[in-house]
Amino acid sequence: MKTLKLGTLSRFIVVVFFAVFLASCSSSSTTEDDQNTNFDPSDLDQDGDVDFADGDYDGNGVVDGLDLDFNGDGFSDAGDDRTGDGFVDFEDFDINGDNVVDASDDTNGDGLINSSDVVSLGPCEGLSGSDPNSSNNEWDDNCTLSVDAPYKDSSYSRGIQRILWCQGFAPVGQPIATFADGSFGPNTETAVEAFQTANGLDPDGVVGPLTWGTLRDTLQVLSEVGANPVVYGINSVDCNGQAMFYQNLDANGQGVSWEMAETPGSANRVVFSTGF
Amino acid sequence: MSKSLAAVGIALAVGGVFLYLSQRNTAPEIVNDAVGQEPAMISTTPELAPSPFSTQVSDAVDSTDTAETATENTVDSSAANTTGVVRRIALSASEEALAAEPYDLATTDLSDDQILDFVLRLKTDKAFLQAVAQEFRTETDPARLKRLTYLLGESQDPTLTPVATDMVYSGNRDSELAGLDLLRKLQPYDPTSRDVVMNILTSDADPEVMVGALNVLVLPSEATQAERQTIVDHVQPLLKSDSAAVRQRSVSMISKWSTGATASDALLLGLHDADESVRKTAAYSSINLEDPSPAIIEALFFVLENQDELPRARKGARQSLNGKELSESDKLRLQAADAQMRNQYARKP
Repeated sequence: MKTLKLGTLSRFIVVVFFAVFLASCSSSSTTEDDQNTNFDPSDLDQDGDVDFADGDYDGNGVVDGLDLDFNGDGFSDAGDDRTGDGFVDFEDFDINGDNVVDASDDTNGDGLINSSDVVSLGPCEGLSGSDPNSSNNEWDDNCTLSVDAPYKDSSYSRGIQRILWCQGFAPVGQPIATFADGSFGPNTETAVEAFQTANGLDPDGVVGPLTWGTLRDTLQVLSEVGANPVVYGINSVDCNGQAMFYQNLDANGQGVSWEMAETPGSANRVVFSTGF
Repeated sequence: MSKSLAAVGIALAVGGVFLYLSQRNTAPEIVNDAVGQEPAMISTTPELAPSPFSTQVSDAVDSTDTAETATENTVDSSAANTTGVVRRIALSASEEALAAEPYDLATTDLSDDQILDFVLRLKTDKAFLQAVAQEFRTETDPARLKRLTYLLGESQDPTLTPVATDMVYSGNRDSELAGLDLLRKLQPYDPTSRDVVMNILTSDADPEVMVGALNVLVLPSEATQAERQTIVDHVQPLLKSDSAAVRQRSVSMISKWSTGATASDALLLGLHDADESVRKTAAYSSINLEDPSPAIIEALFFVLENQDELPRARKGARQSLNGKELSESDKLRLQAADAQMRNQYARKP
C-alpha cells in the first residue's frame, strides 16, 4: 500500500514536472515571439542595446520614469507634454516628427533627447502637433509640407487639399470630404504637382514658400468690406460662394491670423495653421 | 522502482508527444506571421493598409498547404529583401493574372492606400513592373499616363530609365513629355537619368520640352561636385533663353544645384529679368541663399520696393529679406516697404 502510494506520488511528481517544463517552454516561446505585443522589461532591449529606440531618452542605459522628463525639471509630469495631447509619450520626444524616436531626434548631439533639442530647430521641424492659431498673416512662411514632412497629417494639409480639390486637381469623382482628410498622401502629392505645373512652379510635390503663396492667391473674398473676420472662398466652379477660410483682422484692419471653415461653407471656424 | 521508471518513461513519452503536437499546432501560426501579416512587417511604412491584392492572391493559395506556401514565399521574396517584405506574388505571373488584378492596372483613380499597395507590388514583383511599364509605353489617355507615371516613379526602379528614355526619343510629343516626367521621378534614384536631360538641354528643343527636361532636375539628390558643375554648365546658357518659362526654371534649378557665386549670378539675372514670373521665382529661390552679396540684397529691394511689381514677387522678396542679416538702414527699408505693401493691398471701402 505504501509502495503503491509512493508510486502514485512519483507519477504525480513527474507529471507536475512536465507540466512546469511545458509551461516554461511555452512561456519562453511567447516572450521571444511577442516582443511587440507583450511589453515587459525583457522587451525593452529591442535591438541588442538599450538606447533611444528602446525609450532611453536620457541616454543613461536604463529605461525608467525619468526618460519621460522632457523639460528636465526632475519630474515626468504635464510639463513634459510637448505636443499637448494629454500624454507624456514618445511623440513628445519625436523631435523631427518621423514617428520614430532615435538618434536623429538628438539634434544637438548631447546624447539626450529633451527640450534642448527643440530649441535648435525651427518650429516647423520641431513639433509634430498643431497650435491653435497662426500668429502670422502670411502663408508663404508656413511650414513646408510634403508626403515626408512632419506636418503631413495636419490642418495645414486639409486647407491645402480644399484648395486643390476646388481647383480640380483631386482624383475624378472623389468628394471633397474624402480628398480633404488632412493627410498628405500620394493623391495629395500628385495634386500638388499638377497644381505646380499649372501655375508654372517647380513640380516637386512639396508645398514650400512659393507654392504656399500661390495657393493663397487662389482665394477670393466673400464677405463685405469691414467684416471681421474676412470670409474667403476659392475661385472655382465647384466651390464658388462657399466659405473655406477666415482671416482675423486687428483693430487697424490688418490681417493677423487664419482659421478654416469646419466644413466647406460652415460658419464654424477651426484651426488652420500652426502658430510660430 | 521499475514502476517509477516506467512512469517516468510514460510521462516522457506523453510529454514528447504533447510537445510535438504543440509544435505542430503553433507552426502554422508562425508561418502566418511571416506571410500573412505583411503590413506588420513593414516597420518603415506603418500606415500601409491591409492589401486587397494580397488578400485576393492568398485566397487562391491552397490554405491546407501552408508549409509549401511558406517555402514558395521565402524563395519568391528575393526581390523584396531590401524592404523585409515577404510577398505571395509569383514572379512568373501570367498576363491574364495581371490583367485580373483588382486595380486593373490603374485604369481608374486609386485611393492613397491602393497607391501605396500598388507601389509596394511594383517594388517586389518584376513581372508586374514590366507589365505596368508596357502599359505606360502604349497608353494614350493623358490621365492614365499621369497615373502610371506617378506609380512607376514611386517604384524608384532604375531599370525604368531606359523605358522613359525610349519615350523621350519616340518622336511623339505626348510620349516625350511623359518620358521626361518619369525621368523626373526616377532622377533622385538614378543619376544616369540626368544624362538624357543634358542632351536635350544642349539641343534646340522647343520651350515645353526644355521645361520638361529642366523639371527632371527638380528633386534634390546626391551628386558629386563635378556632377553638379556639369548640370550648372548645361543650364546656365538657358538663363538667356527667349522663353520666360525656360529662364524661370533655369534660375530655380541653378539655385538648387549650386551655391555661392554661381547661384548668386543666376539669381541676380532672375531678379532683374523682364518677366515678372522669373522675378517671382528668383525672389523665392533666394530664400535659402546663405551669405547673400550686397548686390543680391539690393536686387531683392529692387523687387520689393517697386509698387507696380507683381504682388507675389514682392512678397517673395520680403520673405527672403526677412531671413537675411541686414544692416540697420536696410532693416528700416524693409519695415517701410512692408508697411507700404500692407497699405497698398489692404481692402478699402
